[in-house]
Amino acid sequence: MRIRTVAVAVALLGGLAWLATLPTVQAQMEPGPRTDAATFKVDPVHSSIIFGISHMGVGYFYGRFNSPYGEFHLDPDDPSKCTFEVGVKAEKVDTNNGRRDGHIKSADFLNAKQFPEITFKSTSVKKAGTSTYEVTGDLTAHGVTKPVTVQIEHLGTRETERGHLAGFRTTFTISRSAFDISYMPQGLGDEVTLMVGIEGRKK
Amino acid sequence: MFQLLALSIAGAVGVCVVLMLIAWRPWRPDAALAGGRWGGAAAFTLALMPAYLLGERWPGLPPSESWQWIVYVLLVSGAVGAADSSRRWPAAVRVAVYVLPAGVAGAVLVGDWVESPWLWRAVTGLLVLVTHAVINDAGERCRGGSVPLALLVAATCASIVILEANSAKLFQLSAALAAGLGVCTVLAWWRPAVSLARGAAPVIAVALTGLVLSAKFLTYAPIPVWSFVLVSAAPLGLLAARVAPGQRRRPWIAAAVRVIAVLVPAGVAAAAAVASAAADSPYGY
Repeated sequence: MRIRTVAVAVALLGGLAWLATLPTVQAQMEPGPRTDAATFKVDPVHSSIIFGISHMGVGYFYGRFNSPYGEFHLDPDDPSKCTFEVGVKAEKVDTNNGRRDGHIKSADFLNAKQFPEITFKSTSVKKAGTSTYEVTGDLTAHGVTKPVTVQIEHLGTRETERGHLAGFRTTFTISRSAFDISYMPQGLGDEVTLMVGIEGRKK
Repeated sequence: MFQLLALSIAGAVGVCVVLMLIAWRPWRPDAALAGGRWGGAAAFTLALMPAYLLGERWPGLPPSESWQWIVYVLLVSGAVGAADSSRRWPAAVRVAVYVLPAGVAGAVLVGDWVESPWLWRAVTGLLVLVTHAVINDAGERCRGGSVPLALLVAATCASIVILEANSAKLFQLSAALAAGLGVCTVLAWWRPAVSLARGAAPVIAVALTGLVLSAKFLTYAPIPVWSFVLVSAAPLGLLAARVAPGQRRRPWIAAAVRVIAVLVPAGVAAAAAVASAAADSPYGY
């Protein structure tokens, strides 16, 4: 009886010791930037592009572009080697109203049939803070390409059960008329706010 | 949007009234009115420009968007119409008068990004060509306001289809075309010698076909393709009216037959567009 009790106690202690070596869920959730450079493919399911625009001078309306795609390269040791290339199909606009989506996709605004893609491609990246980068790049929409500079916050890079993931987010504004999307100036503001959250998996 | 629409219509009415009065000078005797057909070409070409410029800047050459070619195609058609009104040209030139607007419209209004672009270029060119010929034929044979009224019906139904397709810019332009045809209808009823033949015909053919098919190419509304094609082909009802019974009876019966022959296909197309859009989410511009 005593031998059995000791054996059970030893087994339990051994099990606990083994469990202690496993990474915990909590540990997986904590940010833990890695130092090695890597290229990540954008995860369309866990990435979001939200846009907002004033309506009739009284409201502020939000919509989104579903399923972004692209890839980004992070090199914490040499930010100048970081690159960000993110795009979305213009016809993936989603405002929770099918006819409004159709109107936004029409030639009144995005002309999604002739200009099916909206893309951002970085041209230079500079470190701006401990986890932020100043990214300058070319934003192409409606067939017009304009340089934009955005502050990107690197949210984390880590090994997870879903693979080696990294993510960032940014918020910036553009003038839609700069992209020749100027219809209905009486009803819609010129300034469009873009909120972007991108998650990628190491290629 | 309603402000832009009202300004587009007002601009088209103003341009048409001024140019048509200057060109036709309708207070003159009947025999003198034939010389004013260039005014029809000029009026319909310029009537659509305020509507375009209310929504867009003047396009570069080449324009960045395929539908923006419409202003240049209108200018070419207007020049062709004005040239056609100036004298009786030899047969070879007459062929060019028909082929040029149709060829240019088919070539530039259909971008390479359209599915089956060559098919749609052929359809666009053919519709412009046939519509042009039918308006010329009806305008030469029929005096009075029935031909412009029938085309006003077609343009109104086309505007409904374009509106339901969710293209406000193209809707403004089609509404301006309808407004111009409204002015012409009144003028032609007052002075039956006023005609759309050999003058305004290529411009109306290009505007109607070009705007409707551009809406088909550029929009996402669940409107059937045949609805776009049918409404842009509706002026061909004037050809059907030519062989319909009642043409040799009283003029008003013949006029009613012409209008009905255009209204039936155009109305069916518009009704189909409205029904399709009604099944979609509710939305106000």
